[in-house]
Amino acid sequence: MFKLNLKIAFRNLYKNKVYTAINVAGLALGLGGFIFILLYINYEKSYDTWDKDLDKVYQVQELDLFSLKEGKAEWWGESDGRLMEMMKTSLPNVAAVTRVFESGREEALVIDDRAPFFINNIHKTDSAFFSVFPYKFLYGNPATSLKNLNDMVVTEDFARKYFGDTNPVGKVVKLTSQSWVTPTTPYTITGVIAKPETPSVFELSVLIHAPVYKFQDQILSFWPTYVKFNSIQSEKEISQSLQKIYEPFRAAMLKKWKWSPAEYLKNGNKPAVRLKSFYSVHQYPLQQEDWFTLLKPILLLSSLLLLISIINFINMFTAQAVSRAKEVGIRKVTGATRASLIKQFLVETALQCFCALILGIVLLELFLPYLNKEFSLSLSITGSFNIGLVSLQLIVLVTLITLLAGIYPAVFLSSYSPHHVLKGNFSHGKKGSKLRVILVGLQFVIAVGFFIGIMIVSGQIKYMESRDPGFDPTGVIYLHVPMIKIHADRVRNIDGVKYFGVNNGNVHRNPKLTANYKYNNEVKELATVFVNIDGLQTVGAKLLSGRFFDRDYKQDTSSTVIINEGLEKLYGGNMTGKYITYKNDSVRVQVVGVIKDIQVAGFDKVSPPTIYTASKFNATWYPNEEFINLIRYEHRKEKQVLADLTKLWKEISPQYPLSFTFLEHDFKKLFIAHERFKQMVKLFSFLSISLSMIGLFSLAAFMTRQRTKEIAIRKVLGADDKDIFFLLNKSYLWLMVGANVIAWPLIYIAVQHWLAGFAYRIEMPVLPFLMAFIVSILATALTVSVQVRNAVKSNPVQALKYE
Amino acid sequence: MIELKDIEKYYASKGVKSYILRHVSTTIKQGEFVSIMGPSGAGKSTLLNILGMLEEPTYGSYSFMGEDVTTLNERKRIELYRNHIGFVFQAYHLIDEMTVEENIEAPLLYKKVPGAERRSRVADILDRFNMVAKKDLFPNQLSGGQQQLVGIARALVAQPSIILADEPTGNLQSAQALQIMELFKKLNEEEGITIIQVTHSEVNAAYGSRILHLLDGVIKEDVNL
Repeated sequence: MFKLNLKIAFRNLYKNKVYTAINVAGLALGLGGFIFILLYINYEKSYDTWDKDLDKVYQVQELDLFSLKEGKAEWWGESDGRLMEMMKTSLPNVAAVTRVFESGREEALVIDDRAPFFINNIHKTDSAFFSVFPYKFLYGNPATSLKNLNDMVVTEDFARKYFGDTNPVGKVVKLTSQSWVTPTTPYTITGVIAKPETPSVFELSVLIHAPVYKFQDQILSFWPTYVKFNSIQSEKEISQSLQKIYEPFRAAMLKKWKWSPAEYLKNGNKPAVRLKSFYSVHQYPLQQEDWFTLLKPILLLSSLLLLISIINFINMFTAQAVSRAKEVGIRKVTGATRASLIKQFLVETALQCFCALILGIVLLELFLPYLNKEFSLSLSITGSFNIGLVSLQLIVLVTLITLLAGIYPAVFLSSYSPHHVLKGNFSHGKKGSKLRVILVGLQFVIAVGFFIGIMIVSGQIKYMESRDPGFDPTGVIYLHVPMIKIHADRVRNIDGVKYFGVNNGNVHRNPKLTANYKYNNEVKELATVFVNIDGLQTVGAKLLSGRFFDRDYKQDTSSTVIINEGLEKLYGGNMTGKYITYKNDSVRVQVVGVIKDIQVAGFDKVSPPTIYTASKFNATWYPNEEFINLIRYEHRKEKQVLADLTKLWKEISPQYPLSFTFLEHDFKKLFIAHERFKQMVKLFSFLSISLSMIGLFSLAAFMTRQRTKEIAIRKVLGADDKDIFFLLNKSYLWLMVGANVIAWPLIYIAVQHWLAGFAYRIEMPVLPFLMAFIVSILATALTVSVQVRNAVKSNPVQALKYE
Repeated sequence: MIELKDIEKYYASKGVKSYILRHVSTTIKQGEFVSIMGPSGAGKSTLLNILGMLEEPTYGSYSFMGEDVTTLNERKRIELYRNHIGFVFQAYHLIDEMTVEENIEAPLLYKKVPGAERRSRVADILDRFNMVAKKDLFPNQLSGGQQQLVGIARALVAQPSIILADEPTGNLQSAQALQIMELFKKLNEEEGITIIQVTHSEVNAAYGSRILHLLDGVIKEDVNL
């Protein structure tokens, strides 16, 4: 029976080739998107599951003692380094304790006599690392690697890249952490580890055994610390044991230092530590959104897409009802039960879903390289380490979709009574059409929403890209390691270099310095940016009134400031020439210029009211040391300038190459996330709109076929094409009006929410709403008319025959 | 009023022509009541469809009210439907979603008759057919005979000069059939409406003034009663 059903299913699908193709293609699109999300979820879920022993590893977390966020202390993944020794001796069941942290800066590595190159993810750890994290060794021995200071372990990828297929163990390489400051240190490679099977929070390439700082009084040092126990522990119990050790230790320390974090204690916070499983480090990261929160919008989008394609499927399938009615009647007469009919239709659905799945996988496989690149992922379907899991999920997914898409059409089709069907003059009536109208309406609510959404998103992004950021990022580079003063003039003398400056608050370094200033007897805490005399011209700041700092004015390095537009507004207008005081009125500085707000961080946030100072001694606690790092040059001489600069750098710092970034690249990077979001919404809009069109098309086909008799009668009564045309279009147009009316408030709220994330944003435009309305009406009329045309052109005799 | 010359209709399939009508030539004058008779497959319905311009003949010429309508453009044909031809079907073919009154009103809407006149004409015809009480019912709430009365009322409301009826009583009991035939006869005699009906029944045919006997697509007999 099943074989027969399958055979009939194949024949039916083949008979309605076009419908089948559209059905399967639509579903494949929806499924492809969803499988992508599925792969992504699997990928994220698999973080750090590469060894069973990792279940016994826990991260030590400590409550932040120094700052509160909205009155509450925050947990951090770093803890006091002094705890390490205490845990080893006092916690029960501890197998090993280690610390590991990423260097966070570019370090230059020299292998043999080759040119130095940068690595920016050097992990610094101690000798216990491999006792806690059971990496597999290709060369070397986990017990002895990293045993000594200046031992180095590299990953297989790194080894292959720089040493080819030879065993690098025993090689000595030279590492320079930072130009000018630290000397070059030789490291011995003692092992090569295999890449773990799953992604990990440690993005390793090079691990070094770094020296431990000696603890001095009054110095706190916080490290990411990991504890491995002999067996799996209860987080709560071990956290309590640790807290018992920690509390007296911290209390004694605070007492000794005579330091009481009063505000902190006032809010009912108390110093605390806890242990969290290593697995949770990636799943529930502290201080940032976890991956699932970030995934939510995409998950929503792809679910909507899948929903639309399932609706299409239902519509298409029931649209064939007319041609299947007779078959149902005859089957029933020859003894088929309703259940067996439902089964038969479900088999057909399953077959199509399966085809769609295969097609969806093929589609995804084609686009995966692009998606991986775009979202910097490394997802794969076939090469997946958990191919079994993926297959199981896909089977469940297809079954679910089969039921979701198939149950209604199956029940609907199998409900025909043979008595009516076989009488010959079978009229379908309006049975079941209401649901389909609602479903198509729903599709259009989604499609209209997407349409409006993408228009507003594009509008906002265009607005940001064209808005004046208050500075000119073209022709400026910033050096990752600031040049010391003694070499600065040599840089200034390079042909083509216009300014060599510093702008510490805006670009790259220390962006969050603040100080208290008094004006008009009012003390305000304001953002403070260190520049040198050339600092503002270097970034291309735009003067609104007054002047820039200038070497000709001696006072500019001691008693003048420049403020931004935002601050002038805050102070109530025209500030040039006015005086501001700080440090309890002991210092008085004059405002010599007002510049446009510099939007170096993009337009998401308001650029704060800011004071620019070129004085070494200023309102903050920090001296303005003028580490010069910004170079503005003539853009047409870029090549020459960079070549000269590289040459100069090589001469003064042979072990640590020049490393810099174009300010323009950095600034453009701010828009990448938005641009990517736009592309994604665009893709989803395109898919959802085309799928909805297909849905509408099939509904129109179905409804028109249902009304053939009526149309024929009307025609012989004297209705002309226009009348019929209007008659058939009317209901769909109302449907569109309805979909628009429902979609508007929903998308309004969603877009409003999105726009609220930008400090500088467009006003909610009306045009997209009107456009969506007009376009949806036109598109509907067009889609429906293609169907209606056939009905209008058809000969009424066919429909009115009585046979 | 109607002049058919050498009408032929055939379907060609795989090189073999299967004829439905062959060399049909006849003239029907204004005010005649013609019954087309013949066994199943004789081509009665096809002939009626050709007369109603629902189908085109493969060959031959057809003139309606002195105008050659053998091949007629859409607009012109619709014009004829609106003003001169009323159809009555065996299966009534009322629009299920409309009430009796709305069904009758439909042709007038297409004829663009103004509202007031439309209402009065519909009321008039409802009155004539004794259906005022049923005007708000839907077709499926009526008996077959009543439905057919609505069908005829609908055909008449546009004041056609000819009614084409395809087995108008085929689905009805004999008592109801008689009633319909009486009505046709009355319309024919009192209002001078030309009626052409296809029928199997000798009894029904006897109401008319002329019978065309069709056999295998050929007019075998043309009897004036």
